[in-house]
Amino acid sequence: MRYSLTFALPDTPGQLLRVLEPIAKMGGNIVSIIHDRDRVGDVYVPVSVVAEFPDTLLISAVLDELRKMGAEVLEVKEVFRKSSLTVMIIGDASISEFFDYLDTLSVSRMEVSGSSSKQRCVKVDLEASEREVGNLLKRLEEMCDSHGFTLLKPIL
Amino acid sequence: MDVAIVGYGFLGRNLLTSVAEKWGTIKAVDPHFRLVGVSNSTGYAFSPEGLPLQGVLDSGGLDHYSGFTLGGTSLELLDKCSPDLVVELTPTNIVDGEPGLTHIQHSLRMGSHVVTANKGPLAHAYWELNAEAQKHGVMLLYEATVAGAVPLFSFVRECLQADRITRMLGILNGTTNYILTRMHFEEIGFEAALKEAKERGLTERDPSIDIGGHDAACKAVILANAIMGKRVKLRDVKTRGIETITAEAIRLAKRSGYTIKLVATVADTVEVAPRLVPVNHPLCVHGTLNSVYLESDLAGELTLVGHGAGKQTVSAIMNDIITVLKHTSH
Repeated sequence: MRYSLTFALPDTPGQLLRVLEPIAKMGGNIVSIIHDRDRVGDVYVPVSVVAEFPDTLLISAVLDELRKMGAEVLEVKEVFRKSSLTVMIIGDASISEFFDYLDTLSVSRMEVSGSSSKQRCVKVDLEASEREVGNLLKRLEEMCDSHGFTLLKPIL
Repeated sequence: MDVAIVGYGFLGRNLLTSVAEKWGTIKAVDPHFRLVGVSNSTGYAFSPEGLPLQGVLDSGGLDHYSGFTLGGTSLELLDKCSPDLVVELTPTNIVDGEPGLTHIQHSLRMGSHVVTANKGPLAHAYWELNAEAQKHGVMLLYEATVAGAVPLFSFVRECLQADRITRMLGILNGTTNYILTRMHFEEIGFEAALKEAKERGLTERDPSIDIGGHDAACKAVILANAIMGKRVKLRDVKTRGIETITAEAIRLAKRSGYTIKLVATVADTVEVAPRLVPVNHPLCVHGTLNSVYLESDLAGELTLVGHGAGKQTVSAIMNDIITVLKHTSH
Protein backbone atom coordinates (compact mmCIF):
# COMPACT_ATOMS: atom_id res chain seq x y z
CA MET A 1 0.00 0.00 0.00
CA ARG A 2 1.27 3.44 -0.91
CA TYR A 3 0.48 6.47 1.27
CA SER A 4 1.19 10.18 1.06
CA LEU A 5 1.75 11.93 4.42
CA THR A 6 1.94 15.72 4.58
CA PHE A 7 3.63 17.29 7.60
CA ALA A 8 4.11 20.83 8.87
CA LEU A 9 7.71 20.63 10.07
CA PRO A 10 9.61 23.30 12.02
CA ASP A 11 12.21 24.85 9.71
CA THR A 12 15.16 23.64 11.77
CA PRO A 13 17.83 20.98 11.03
CA GLY A 14 16.97 17.33 11.81
CA GLN A 15 13.14 17.67 11.70
CA LEU A 16 12.69 15.65 8.51
CA LEU A 17 14.90 12.83 9.76
CA ARG A 18 12.81 12.72 12.96
CA VAL A 19 9.52 12.00 11.12
CA LEU A 20 11.14 9.55 8.72
CA GLU A 21 12.35 7.32 11.55
CA PRO A 22 8.93 5.86 12.56
CA ILE A 23 8.13 5.28 8.87
CA ALA A 24 11.35 3.34 8.33
CA LYS A 25 10.90 1.46 11.62
CA MET A 26 7.54 0.10 10.42
CA GLY A 27 9.04 -1.16 7.17
CA GLY A 28 7.95 1.83 5.07
CA ASN A 29 9.88 2.30 1.85
CA ILE A 30 10.24 6.00 1.02
CA VAL A 31 9.22 6.69 -2.58
CA SER A 32 9.50 10.49 -2.67
CA ILE A 33 9.92 13.57 -0.46
CA ILE A 34 8.70 17.00 -1.52
CA HIS A 35 9.74 20.12 0.39
CA ASP A 36 7.91 23.35 -0.20
CA ARG A 37 10.49 25.95 0.85
CA ASP A 38 9.36 28.76 -1.42
CA ARG A 39 8.09 30.83 1.41
CA VAL A 40 11.40 31.78 3.05
CA GLY A 41 11.11 32.85 6.65
CA ASP A 42 8.10 30.70 7.53
CA VAL A 43 8.44 28.90 10.84
CA TYR A 44 6.87 25.72 9.50
CA VAL A 45 7.58 24.04 6.15
CA PRO A 46 5.05 21.72 4.45
CA VAL A 47 6.69 18.39 3.54
CA SER A 48 5.00 15.54 1.67
CA VAL A 49 6.41 12.04 2.07
CA VAL A 50 5.19 9.17 -0.13
CA ALA A 51 5.97 5.74 1.30
CA GLU A 52 5.10 2.16 0.44
CA PHE A 53 3.99 -0.11 3.32
CA PRO A 54 3.81 -3.89 3.17
CA ASP A 55 0.57 -3.88 5.17
CA THR A 56 -2.21 -1.32 5.52
CA LEU A 57 -2.29 -1.76 9.33
CA LEU A 58 1.25 -0.41 9.62
CA ILE A 59 0.21 3.10 8.61
CA SER A 60 -1.94 3.35 11.77
CA ALA A 61 1.05 2.39 13.91
CA VAL A 62 3.18 5.02 12.17
CA LEU A 63 0.56 7.71 12.75
CA ASP A 64 0.30 6.78 16.46
CA GLU A 65 4.06 7.08 16.79
CA LEU A 66 4.12 10.42 14.97
CA ARG A 67 1.36 11.78 17.20
CA LYS A 68 3.18 10.66 20.35
CA MET A 69 6.31 12.53 19.29
CA GLY A 70 4.25 15.67 18.58
CA ALA A 71 4.67 15.76 14.79
CA GLU A 72 1.97 17.75 13.03
CA VAL A 73 0.44 15.57 10.32
CA LEU A 74 -1.70 17.71 8.00
CA GLU A 75 -2.97 15.01 5.65
CA VAL A 76 -2.80 11.26 5.06
CA LYS A 77 -4.09 9.72 1.87
CA GLU A 78 -3.69 6.48 0.03
CA VAL A 79 -2.02 6.76 -3.37
CA PHE A 80 -3.53 4.53 -6.03
CA ARG A 81 -1.24 3.53 -8.83
CA LYS A 82 -2.92 3.70 -12.21
CA SER A 83 -2.72 0.91 -14.74
CA SER A 84 -3.55 1.33 -18.36
CA LEU A 85 -5.26 -1.50 -20.08
CA THR A 86 -6.10 -2.12 -23.73
CA VAL A 87 -9.08 -4.25 -24.70
CA MET A 88 -10.92 -4.78 -27.96
CA ILE A 89 -14.61 -5.42 -28.52
CA ILE A 90 -16.13 -6.92 -31.65
CA GLY A 91 -19.87 -6.66 -32.08
CA ASP A 92 -22.83 -5.70 -34.15
CA ALA A 93 -23.40 -2.16 -32.84
CA SER A 94 -23.12 1.45 -33.98
CA ILE A 95 -20.37 3.76 -32.77
CA SER A 96 -22.82 5.72 -30.60
CA GLU A 97 -24.08 2.48 -29.04
CA PHE A 98 -20.50 1.53 -28.13
CA PHE A 99 -20.02 4.99 -26.59
CA ASP A 100 -23.14 4.49 -24.50
CA TYR A 101 -22.13 1.01 -23.33
CA LEU A 102 -18.66 2.18 -22.33
CA ASP A 103 -19.85 5.44 -20.80
CA THR A 104 -19.49 4.46 -17.15
CA LEU A 105 -16.04 2.90 -17.58
CA SER A 106 -12.77 4.82 -17.27
CA VAL A 107 -12.03 5.10 -20.99
CA SER A 108 -8.99 7.20 -21.85
CA ARG A 109 -9.00 6.54 -25.62
CA MET A 110 -11.16 4.76 -28.15
CA GLU A 111 -10.42 3.73 -31.72
CA VAL A 112 -13.14 2.39 -33.99
CA SER A 113 -12.47 0.37 -37.11
CA GLY A 114 -14.17 1.11 -40.41
CA SER A 115 -17.09 -1.22 -40.84
CA SER A 116 -16.49 -3.18 -44.03
CA SER A 117 -18.38 -6.00 -42.35
CA LYS A 118 -21.47 -6.01 -40.15
CA GLN A 119 -19.27 -6.54 -37.14
CA ARG A 120 -17.70 -3.34 -35.85
CA CYS A 121 -14.47 -3.41 -33.88
CA VAL A 122 -13.45 -1.02 -31.12
CA LYS A 123 -10.12 -0.72 -29.36
CA VAL A 124 -10.47 0.80 -25.92
CA ASP A 125 -7.70 2.11 -23.67
CA LEU A 126 -8.81 2.13 -20.07
CA GLU A 127 -7.24 3.61 -16.97
CA ALA A 128 -7.82 2.20 -13.53
CA SER A 129 -6.05 1.75 -10.24
CA GLU A 130 -4.32 -1.62 -9.92
CA ARG A 131 -6.90 -2.91 -7.46
CA GLU A 132 -9.79 -1.93 -9.77
CA VAL A 133 -8.50 -3.70 -12.90
CA GLY A 134 -10.13 -7.06 -12.08
CA ASN A 135 -13.46 -5.42 -11.32
CA LEU A 136 -13.30 -3.34 -14.49
CA LEU A 137 -12.65 -6.41 -16.65
CA LYS A 138 -15.53 -8.21 -14.96
CA ARG A 139 -17.90 -5.33 -15.76
CA LEU A 140 -16.70 -5.31 -19.36
CA GLU A 141 -17.22 -9.06 -19.63
CA GLU A 142 -20.77 -8.75 -18.30
CA MET A 143 -21.52 -5.92 -20.72
CA CYS A 144 -20.12 -7.89 -23.69
CA ASP A 145 -21.92 -11.11 -22.68
CA SER A 146 -25.23 -9.30 -22.37
CA HIS A 147 -24.92 -7.77 -25.86
CA GLY A 148 -23.39 -10.81 -27.54
CA PHE A 149 -20.08 -9.00 -28.21
CA THR A 150 -16.64 -10.62 -28.31
CA LEU A 151 -14.30 -9.16 -25.71
CA LEU A 152 -10.58 -9.48 -26.35
CA LYS A 153 -8.69 -9.05 -23.09
CA PRO A 154 -4.93 -8.65 -23.02
CA ILE A 155 -2.81 -11.37 -21.46
CA LEU A 156 -1.85 -9.51 -18.30
CA MET B 1 8.63 -55.80 -22.46
CA ASP B 2 5.64 -56.72 -24.64
CA VAL B 3 4.02 -53.70 -26.26
CA ALA B 4 0.73 -53.26 -28.14
CA ILE B 5 -0.29 -50.26 -30.21
CA VAL B 6 -4.02 -49.52 -30.25
CA GLY B 7 -4.84 -47.19 -33.14
CA TYR B 8 -2.93 -47.36 -36.37
CA GLY B 9 -3.65 -44.07 -38.10
CA PHE B 10 -1.23 -41.24 -38.88
CA LEU B 11 0.44 -41.30 -35.45
CA GLY B 12 0.48 -45.11 -35.22
CA ARG B 13 2.24 -45.45 -38.57
CA ASN B 14 4.76 -42.73 -37.74
CA LEU B 15 5.38 -44.27 -34.33
CA LEU B 16 6.08 -47.66 -35.87
CA THR B 17 8.50 -46.04 -38.33
CA SER B 18 10.32 -44.32 -35.46
CA VAL B 19 10.41 -47.51 -33.38
CA ALA B 20 12.06 -49.25 -36.36
CA GLU B 21 14.51 -46.36 -36.82
CA LYS B 22 15.36 -46.18 -33.11
CA TRP B 23 15.43 -49.93 -32.57
CA GLY B 24 18.98 -49.78 -31.19
CA THR B 25 18.11 -47.08 -28.67
CA ILE B 26 15.06 -49.02 -27.47
CA LYS B 27 16.89 -52.34 -27.25
CA ALA B 28 19.69 -50.70 -25.26
CA VAL B 29 17.11 -49.81 -22.59
CA ASP B 30 15.10 -53.04 -22.81
CA PRO B 31 16.67 -55.97 -24.67
CA HIS B 32 13.35 -57.86 -24.40
CA PHE B 33 11.26 -55.19 -26.14
CA ARG B 34 8.72 -56.72 -28.56
CA LEU B 35 5.77 -55.32 -30.45
CA VAL B 36 3.21 -58.07 -29.97
CA GLY B 37 0.08 -56.43 -31.35
CA VAL B 38 -1.26 -53.55 -33.43
CA SER B 39 -4.94 -52.76 -33.93
CA ASN B 40 -7.05 -50.38 -35.95
CA SER B 41 -10.80 -49.85 -36.24
CA THR B 42 -11.28 -52.93 -38.44
CA GLY B 43 -9.10 -55.56 -36.79
CA TYR B 44 -5.64 -56.38 -35.47
CA ALA B 45 -2.31 -58.06 -36.09
CA PHE B 46 -0.93 -60.21 -33.28
CA SER B 47 2.16 -62.30 -32.72
CA PRO B 48 3.26 -63.51 -29.26
CA GLU B 49 6.84 -63.74 -30.58
CA GLY B 50 6.78 -60.13 -31.76
CA LEU B 51 5.60 -58.64 -35.05
CA PRO B 52 8.17 -57.87 -37.75
CA LEU B 53 8.16 -54.05 -37.76
CA GLN B 54 9.33 -53.70 -41.33
CA GLY B 55 6.86 -56.35 -42.46
CA VAL B 56 3.95 -54.38 -40.98
CA LEU B 57 5.26 -51.10 -42.39
CA ASP B 58 5.79 -52.55 -45.85
CA SER B 59 2.35 -54.16 -46.03
CA GLY B 60 0.79 -50.93 -47.29
CA GLY B 61 -1.75 -50.62 -44.48
CA LEU B 62 -2.39 -52.83 -41.47
CA ASP B 63 -5.42 -54.42 -43.17
CA HIS B 64 -3.11 -55.80 -45.85
CA TYR B 65 -0.67 -57.40 -43.43
CA SER B 66 -0.73 -61.17 -43.87
CA GLY B 67 -1.43 -61.91 -40.21
CA PHE B 68 -4.30 -59.38 -39.93
CA THR B 69 -7.46 -60.58 -38.13
CA LEU B 70 -10.35 -58.77 -39.80
CA GLY B 71 -13.22 -57.94 -37.45
CA GLY B 72 -11.20 -58.36 -34.27
CA THR B 73 -11.49 -55.58 -31.70
CA SER B 74 -8.78 -53.74 -29.81
CA LEU B 75 -10.08 -55.11 -26.50
CA GLU B 76 -9.83 -58.65 -27.88
CA LEU B 77 -6.23 -57.97 -28.88
CA LEU B 78 -5.40 -56.65 -25.41
CA ASP B 79 -6.93 -59.72 -23.74
CA LYS B 80 -5.10 -61.99 -26.13
CA CYS B 81 -1.60 -60.51 -25.76
CA SER B 82 -1.72 -59.08 -22.18
CA PRO B 83 0.95 -56.50 -23.02
CA ASP B 84 3.15 -54.87 -20.41
CA LEU B 85 2.62 -51.56 -22.16
CA VAL B 86 -0.29 -50.30 -24.25
CA VAL B 87 0.20 -47.31 -26.54
CA GLU B 88 -3.28 -45.85 -27.10
CA LEU B 89 -3.45 -43.75 -30.27
CA THR B 90 -7.08 -43.88 -31.39
CA PRO B 91 -8.64 -40.61 -32.62
CA THR B 92 -9.78 -38.12 -29.99
CA ASN B 93 -13.45 -38.00 -29.17
CA ILE B 94 -14.12 -34.90 -27.09
CA VAL B 95 -17.76 -35.82 -26.42
CA ASP B 96 -17.15 -38.84 -24.18
CA GLY B 97 -13.51 -39.84 -24.69
CA GLU B 98 -14.45 -43.16 -26.33
CA PRO B 99 -13.22 -45.60 -27.47
CA GLY B 100 -9.89 -44.48 -26.00
CA LEU B 101 -11.30 -44.20 -22.49
CA THR B 102 -12.38 -47.86 -22.45
CA HIS B 103 -9.07 -48.98 -23.97
CA ILE B 104 -7.09 -47.14 -21.29
CA GLN B 105 -9.31 -48.29 -18.41
CA HIS B 106 -9.13 -51.90 -19.64
CA SER B 107 -5.34 -51.74 -19.99
CA LEU B 108 -4.78 -50.24 -16.54
CA ARG B 109 -7.11 -52.79 -14.92
CA MET B 110 -5.18 -55.64 -16.49
CA GLY B 111 -1.96 -54.18 -15.07
CA SER B 112 -0.51 -52.70 -18.26
CA HIS B 113 1.35 -49.40 -18.34
CA VAL B 114 -0.29 -46.91 -20.69
CA VAL B 115 1.18 -44.25 -22.97
CA THR B 116 -1.35 -42.18 -24.89
CA ALA B 117 -1.62 -39.28 -27.30
CA ASN B 118 -5.40 -39.28 -26.98
CA LYS B 119 -6.61 -36.23 -25.05
CA GLY B 120 -10.28 -37.25 -24.91
CA PRO B 121 -9.96 -39.83 -22.11
CA LEU B 122 -7.67 -37.55 -20.06
CA ALA B 123 -9.96 -34.53 -20.46
CA HIS B 124 -12.95 -36.60 -19.33
CA ALA B 125 -11.49 -38.76 -16.59
CA TYR B 126 -8.03 -37.52 -15.57
CA TRP B 127 -8.31 -38.29 -11.86
CA GLU B 128 -10.23 -41.54 -12.32
CA LEU B 129 -7.58 -42.89 -14.72
CA ASN B 130 -4.74 -41.81 -12.46
CA ALA B 131 -6.38 -43.51 -9.48
CA GLU B 132 -6.75 -46.68 -11.56
CA ALA B 133 -3.07 -46.55 -12.57
CA GLN B 134 -2.03 -46.05 -8.97
CA LYS B 135 -4.26 -48.89 -7.78
CA HIS B 136 -2.61 -51.31 -10.19
CA GLY B 137 0.92 -49.95 -9.71
CA VAL B 138 1.39 -48.98 -13.36
CA MET B 139 2.37 -45.80 -15.19
CA LEU B 140 0.03 -43.61 -17.22
CA LEU B 141 1.93 -41.13 -19.40
CA TYR B 142 0.32 -38.65 -21.80
CA GLU B 143 3.01 -36.21 -22.97
CA ALA B 144 1.62 -36.05 -26.51
CA THR B 145 -1.89 -35.03 -25.43
CA VAL B 146 -1.02 -31.35 -24.99
CA ALA B 147 1.18 -29.30 -27.33
CA GLY B 148 2.30 -32.36 -29.33
CA ALA B 149 6.08 -32.60 -29.36
CA VAL B 150 6.62 -30.02 -26.62
CA PRO B 151 7.95 -31.93 -23.59
CA LEU B 152 5.77 -30.10 -21.11
CA PHE B 153 4.74 -32.70 -18.54
CA SER B 154 8.21 -34.29 -18.45
CA PHE B 155 9.75 -30.83 -18.06
CA VAL B 156 7.56 -29.95 -15.09
CA ARG B 157 7.89 -33.44 -13.58
CA GLU B 158 11.68 -33.62 -13.90
CA CYS B 159 12.90 -30.03 -13.89
CA LEU B 160 10.48 -28.13 -11.66
CA GLN B 161 10.15 -30.62 -8.82
CA ALA B 162 10.23 -27.98 -6.08
CA ASP B 163 8.30 -25.31 -7.98
CA ARG B 164 4.65 -24.46 -7.61
CA ILE B 165 3.12 -23.46 -10.94
CA THR B 166 0.88 -20.46 -10.35
CA ARG B 167 -0.39 -19.68 -13.85
CA MET B 168 -0.18 -21.10 -17.34
CA LEU B 169 -0.98 -19.52 -20.68
CA GLY B 170 -0.95 -21.62 -23.80
CA ILE B 171 -1.40 -21.44 -27.54
CA LEU B 172 -2.48 -25.06 -27.77
CA ASN B 173 -4.27 -25.39 -31.09
CA GLY B 174 -2.16 -25.27 -34.25
CA THR B 175 -5.12 -24.87 -36.60
CA THR B 176 -6.46 -21.70 -35.02
CA ASN B 177 -2.93 -20.36 -34.69
CA TYR B 178 -2.40 -20.96 -38.40
CA ILE B 179 -5.67 -19.16 -39.26
CA LEU B 180 -4.89 -16.18 -37.00
CA THR B 181 -1.32 -16.01 -38.31
CA ARG B 182 -2.55 -15.87 -41.92
CA MET B 183 -5.04 -13.17 -40.95
CA HIS B 184 -2.28 -11.19 -39.21
CA PHE B 185 0.40 -11.35 -41.90
CA GLU B 186 -1.64 -11.66 -45.10
CA GLU B 187 -4.56 -9.51 -43.91
CA ILE B 188 -7.09 -12.01 -45.23
CA GLY B 189 -10.50 -12.66 -43.67
CA PHE B 190 -11.42 -15.48 -41.34
CA GLU B 191 -13.32 -17.52 -43.95
CA ALA B 192 -10.44 -17.38 -46.46
CA ALA B 193 -7.92 -18.40 -43.81
CA LEU B 194 -10.16 -21.27 -42.63
CA LYS B 195 -10.53 -22.49 -46.24
CA GLU B 196 -6.73 -22.49 -46.56
CA ALA B 197 -6.36 -24.45 -43.32
CA LYS B 198 -8.88 -27.02 -44.58
CA GLU B 199 -7.07 -27.34 -47.91
CA ARG B 200 -3.82 -27.99 -46.07
CA GLY B 201 -5.47 -30.72 -43.98
CA LEU B 202 -4.95 -28.83 -40.75
CA THR B 203 -8.51 -28.95 -39.42
CA GLU B 204 -10.30 -31.75 -37.59
CA ARG B 205 -13.05 -33.58 -39.49
CA ASP B 206 -15.42 -31.21 -37.68
CA PRO B 207 -13.61 -27.82 -37.86
CA SER B 208 -15.76 -26.38 -35.06
CA ILE B 209 -13.73 -28.49 -32.61
CA ASP B 210 -10.71 -26.34 -33.45
CA ILE B 211 -12.19 -22.95 -34.20
CA GLY B 212 -14.76 -23.14 -31.40
CA GLY B 213 -11.91 -23.57 -28.87
CA HIS B 214 -13.06 -27.06 -27.76
CA ASP B 215 -9.78 -28.80 -28.63
CA ALA B 216 -7.84 -26.18 -26.65
CA ALA B 217 -10.34 -26.51 -23.78
CA CYS B 218 -9.62 -30.27 -23.53
CA LYS B 219 -5.92 -29.52 -23.31
CA ALA B 220 -6.49 -26.78 -20.73
CA VAL B 221 -8.38 -29.30 -18.57
CA ILE B 222 -5.45 -31.73 -18.73
CA LEU B 223 -2.98 -28.96 -17.83
CA ALA B 224 -5.14 -27.75 -14.94
CA ASN B 225 -5.46 -31.24 -13.48
CA ALA B 226 -2.02 -32.65 -14.24
CA ILE B 227 0.18 -29.64 -13.59
CA MET B 228 -1.78 -27.51 -11.15
CA GLY B 229 -3.56 -30.30 -9.28
CA LYS B 230 -7.01 -28.86 -9.88
CA ARG B 231 -10.21 -30.90 -10.14
CA VAL B 232 -11.47 -29.45 -13.38
CA LYS B 233 -13.88 -30.94 -15.92
CA LEU B 234 -14.51 -29.76 -19.45
CA ARG B 235 -17.79 -28.14 -18.38
CA ASP B 236 -15.85 -25.85 -16.00
CA VAL B 237 -13.90 -24.20 -18.83
CA LYS B 238 -15.31 -20.95 -20.17
CA THR B 239 -14.71 -21.51 -23.88
CA ARG B 240 -14.92 -19.05 -26.74
CA GLY B 241 -13.61 -19.61 -30.23
CA ILE B 242 -12.21 -17.42 -32.98
CA GLU B 243 -15.24 -17.40 -35.33
CA THR B 244 -16.02 -13.75 -34.60
CA ILE B 245 -12.51 -12.43 -35.23
CA THR B 246 -12.54 -10.13 -38.23
CA ALA B 247 -9.74 -8.90 -40.48
CA GLU B 248 -10.45 -5.39 -39.14
CA ALA B 249 -9.97 -6.56 -35.55
CA ILE B 250 -6.61 -8.07 -36.46
CA ARG B 251 -5.58 -4.84 -38.24
CA LEU B 252 -6.62 -2.70 -35.26
CA ALA B 253 -4.71 -4.94 -32.85
CA LYS B 254 -1.66 -4.94 -35.12
CA ARG B 255 -1.53 -1.12 -35.20
CA SER B 256 -1.12 -1.11 -31.41
CA GLY B 257 1.58 -3.78 -31.26
CA TYR B 258 -0.73 -6.71 -30.52
CA THR B 259 -1.90 -9.74 -32.35
CA ILE B 260 -4.93 -11.91 -31.61
CA LYS B 261 -4.34 -15.50 -30.47
CA LEU B 262 -6.55 -18.22 -29.06
CA VAL B 263 -5.14 -18.53 -25.55
CA ALA B 264 -5.87 -21.11 -22.88
CA THR B 265 -5.47 -19.64 -19.40
CA VAL B 266 -5.09 -21.88 -16.38
CA ALA B 267 -5.05 -19.92 -13.13
CA ASP B 268 -7.78 -19.53 -10.48
CA THR B 269 -10.20 -20.25 -13.31
CA VAL B 270 -9.71 -22.08 -16.60
CA GLU B 271 -10.60 -20.25 -19.79
CA VAL B 272 -10.07 -20.50 -23.53
CA ALA B 273 -10.66 -17.31 -25.49
CA PRO B 274 -9.17 -15.11 -28.19
CA ARG B 275 -6.85 -12.65 -26.45
CA LEU B 276 -4.68 -9.67 -27.28
CA VAL B 277 -1.05 -10.81 -27.18
CA PRO B 278 1.80 -8.29 -27.50
CA VAL B 279 3.80 -9.25 -30.60
CA ASN B 280 7.02 -9.31 -28.56
CA HIS B 281 5.63 -11.59 -25.82
CA PRO B 282 7.35 -15.02 -25.65
CA LEU B 283 3.95 -16.73 -25.95
CA CYS B 284 3.45 -15.12 -29.37
CA VAL B 285 4.36 -17.84 -31.88
CA HIS B 286 3.07 -18.12 -35.41
CA GLY B 287 1.90 -20.69 -37.93
CA THR B 288 0.99 -24.08 -36.52
CA LEU B 289 3.45 -23.76 -33.61
CA ASN B 290 2.26 -24.17 -30.03
CA SER B 291 3.63 -22.39 -26.98
CA VAL B 292 3.17 -22.69 -23.25
CA TYR B 293 4.08 -19.90 -20.82
CA LEU B 294 4.45 -20.95 -17.19
CA GLU B 295 4.73 -18.83 -14.09
CA SER B 296 6.18 -20.54 -11.05
CA ASP B 297 7.21 -19.46 -7.57
CA LEU B 298 10.90 -20.34 -7.91
CA ALA B 299 11.79 -20.28 -11.60
CA GLY B 300 9.60 -17.29 -12.48
CA GLU B 301 8.49 -17.23 -16.11
CA LEU B 302 9.33 -20.01 -18.55
CA THR B 303 8.19 -20.57 -22.12
CA LEU B 304 8.22 -23.77 -24.17
CA VAL B 305 7.65 -23.68 -27.92
CA GLY B 306 7.30 -26.46 -30.49
CA HIS B 307 5.20 -28.42 -32.94
CA GLY B 308 1.74 -29.08 -31.52
CA ALA B 309 0.74 -31.73 -34.03
CA GLY B 310 2.08 -33.77 -36.95
CA LYS B 311 4.72 -36.45 -36.99
CA GLN B 312 6.90 -34.55 -34.51
CA THR B 313 4.37 -35.67 -31.86
CA VAL B 314 5.99 -39.11 -32.11
CA SER B 315 8.94 -37.66 -30.16
CA ALA B 316 6.69 -37.23 -27.10
CA ILE B 317 5.24 -40.75 -27.44
CA MET B 318 8.70 -42.30 -27.85
CA ASN B 319 9.97 -40.45 -24.80
CA ASP B 320 7.04 -41.73 -22.74
CA ILE B 321 7.69 -45.29 -23.95
CA ILE B 322 11.37 -45.07 -23.02
CA THR B 323 10.42 -43.56 -19.64
CA VAL B 324 8.26 -46.64 -18.95
CA LEU B 325 11.02 -48.99 -20.15
CA LYS B 326 13.59 -47.31 -17.90
CA HIS B 327 11.22 -47.28 -14.94
CA THR B 328 10.46 -50.98 -15.23
CA SER B 329 14.07 -52.02 -15.86
CA HIS B 330 15.14 -50.66 -12.41
